Amino acid sequence: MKACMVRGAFTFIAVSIVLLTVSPAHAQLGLPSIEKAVSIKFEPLHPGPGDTVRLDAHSAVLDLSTSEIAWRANGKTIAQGVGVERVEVNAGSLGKETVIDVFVLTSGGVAASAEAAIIPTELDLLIDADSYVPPFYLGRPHVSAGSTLLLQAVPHFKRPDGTMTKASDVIYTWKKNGEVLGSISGRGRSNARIPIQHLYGTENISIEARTSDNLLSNGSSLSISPIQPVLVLYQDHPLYGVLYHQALGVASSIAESEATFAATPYFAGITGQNDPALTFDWSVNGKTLPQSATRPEAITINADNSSGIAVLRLELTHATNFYMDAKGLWNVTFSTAAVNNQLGVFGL
Amino acid sequence: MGYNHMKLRTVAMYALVGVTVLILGALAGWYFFISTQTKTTVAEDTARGYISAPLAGKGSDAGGATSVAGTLPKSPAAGKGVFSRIWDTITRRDTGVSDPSTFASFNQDQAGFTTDASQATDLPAKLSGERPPRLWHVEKKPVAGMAFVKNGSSEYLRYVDRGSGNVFEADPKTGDTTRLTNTLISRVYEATVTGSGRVIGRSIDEIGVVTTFIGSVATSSEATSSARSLLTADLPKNIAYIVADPKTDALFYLTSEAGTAVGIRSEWNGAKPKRMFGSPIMHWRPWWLADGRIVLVQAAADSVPGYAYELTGDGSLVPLLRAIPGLTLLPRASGAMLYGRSDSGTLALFAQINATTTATRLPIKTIADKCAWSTGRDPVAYCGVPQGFAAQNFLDDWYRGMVHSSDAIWLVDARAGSAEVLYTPDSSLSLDIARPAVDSTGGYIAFINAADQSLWILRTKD
Repeated sequence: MKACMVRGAFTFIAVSIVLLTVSPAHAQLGLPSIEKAVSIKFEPLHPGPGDTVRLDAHSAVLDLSTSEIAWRANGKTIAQGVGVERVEVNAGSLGKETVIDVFVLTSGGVAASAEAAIIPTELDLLIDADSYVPPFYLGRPHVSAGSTLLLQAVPHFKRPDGTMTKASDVIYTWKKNGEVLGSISGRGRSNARIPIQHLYGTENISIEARTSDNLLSNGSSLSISPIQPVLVLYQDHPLYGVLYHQALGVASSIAESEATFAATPYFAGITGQNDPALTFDWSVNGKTLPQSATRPEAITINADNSSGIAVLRLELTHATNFYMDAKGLWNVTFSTAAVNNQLGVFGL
Repeated sequence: MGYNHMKLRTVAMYALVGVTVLILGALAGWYFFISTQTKTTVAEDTARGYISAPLAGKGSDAGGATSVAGTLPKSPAAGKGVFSRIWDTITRRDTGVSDPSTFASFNQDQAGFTTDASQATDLPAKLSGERPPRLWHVEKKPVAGMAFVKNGSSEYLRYVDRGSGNVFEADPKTGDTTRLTNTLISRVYEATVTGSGRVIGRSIDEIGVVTTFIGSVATSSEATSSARSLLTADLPKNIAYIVADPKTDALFYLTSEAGTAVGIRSEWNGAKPKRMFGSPIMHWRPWWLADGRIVLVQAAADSVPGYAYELTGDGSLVPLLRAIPGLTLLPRASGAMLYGRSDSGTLALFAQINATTTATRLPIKTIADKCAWSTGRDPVAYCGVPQGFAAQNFLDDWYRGMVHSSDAIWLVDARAGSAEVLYTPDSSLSLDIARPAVDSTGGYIAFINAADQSLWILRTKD
């Protein structure tokens, strides 16, 4: 079974870009505020600590390619020359502000400038699911149809004065496939539970986080592809319990003449193995068996007076979740196969 | 005078004979009582499939398929005659009632019970000082968990039998195994042995609820029978993960409340629980390091980004690793980390000395779950490394018991960012290394073979 694919799970990084006032310049051609005709763009949009940030100067009215351009970071000139529209700087540590200035002087004598600040932040987007996994499972469940996607945004927003912004003070905007989820967005809404109702397709989840003064912000997104539950069969040993470390393959051998097997529907959108909405349709050697009232996920087979070979088939369906249709087929050879040659129905 | 003297002598003789008969009768009664109790225990063991306990003897070596129980040498008491054993029982010499191994030896050797006193010199191999093989198959039956525990100047591997919940100790130097407890706790799915030797056992009750207990091996004075008990205290139900402070045995466990994962810190017996952590993310794996730090890492899934944090005293999360696909983690007290990445069928292992250094990709493809740090000063670890290519979704399939790897054991120098093969099992032997542990000297590596949950010890130097 293909695992849940999370594509493009990028935790985007931070920045606060504060475009400030530009220095007064000589107004020409009657254009108002020509001195503000230059701006700075960042890549990545939300730099994290230590990231290399690409800065581009842009102007809709000025020809920057022939202009004298000077770049400064925290007051120090980092590049200058004609047509130097792009530079790179390294962002500082978390919360450390880097002030970027760009000065433009066109060949016609028009001057303009822009200023921005980079304040690295981090935003973690944690993903989990409430789909079923058995006790003591060390892994993380994948999302399936009928389960709920669990999300938590963990902002690491440090102000230049060194104070950390509490997660509860951050404003979050959750989006699913581009649509804002207003009911779960807002101040302090760092957690989200999003039901997954379809088996096919991909759910694109994104979040934007910012402080109320817009000084700090960040964003993150991920894509989720739900999967079908994985049906795994284990022996339920009378002494050791369910042998979760030994899944039965398509063809397996059992050293006893009688054994109990337990099916485990990994990642199913159920409350537990005894979810009343689940139906376990068992058959052995083509004979359908009634579902046990107490342990529907388990079946006991006695291979005495039989060939010792059992073909187990299981189909798992859900009363309301029509996307759930997990099937399994296992050939189990019991130890009696060597001594018993007559066909039987395994004492069922 | 002479008549009286003879009469007195006759009375004395009768009295002496009577006392002798009484003593012999008492001894015989005591013997039959012990014998009956032993048979009862044997019957109970047999009934639950516990045919022959590994009480005090050597396991098989790596190449041999001989069972541990099958190759058990006789215990010191086992080969002695009836009267020697009775005498030893009375005097508590050699087979003292406070010695659980002796109790077990009575169970084990009923069939070989003999009156030939000459067999008292038939000493078992455990007293011969013979070293076990370099790769020692300590226990063939499934083991729930283990750890090295110091006892005075010696260090033993303490482990928990999954089927019976009995606690055993294996001496890696002599190859001896000793049963410490005889308290039956069936179906112990998972066990942790704390720094002081306590046992945290986990199981599932009749209605599917996860149960957890913490147990201590009774001391001799606490023992009410010839074998020690495991004195247990129940911890809250439905604990998802639990770890203990390596120094104090204090507990940190994760449970759920109203769909939220909650991290609780308590004393070793569950007293004074204090909530430290809450998250809508349900699946975390905690670590409690020797330097007192608690580290939380998201449970891993193939290709799904995972995060790891240090949990501070005020409950805040300090990021350690961020958005690593298929993240598995092995943190170390000094701040070093080994972490694995499992992304689109490719495994990679990285080493990082501390938070300020960049991680180095190691030349081995494995997961951090197969690694254990050595306790020495240098950041050295031992890892099981699958030989050959791992499956596309190895991590998920491995956690589900659907695939098993055949591993070699590598020595990792995290500071140098290098790794070299330490031991490659014989081609006829497949070892899927899980839950490894290294003793304090770095001389032994213990691990559980995930394929059958049997227990192994490897001597790091031949």
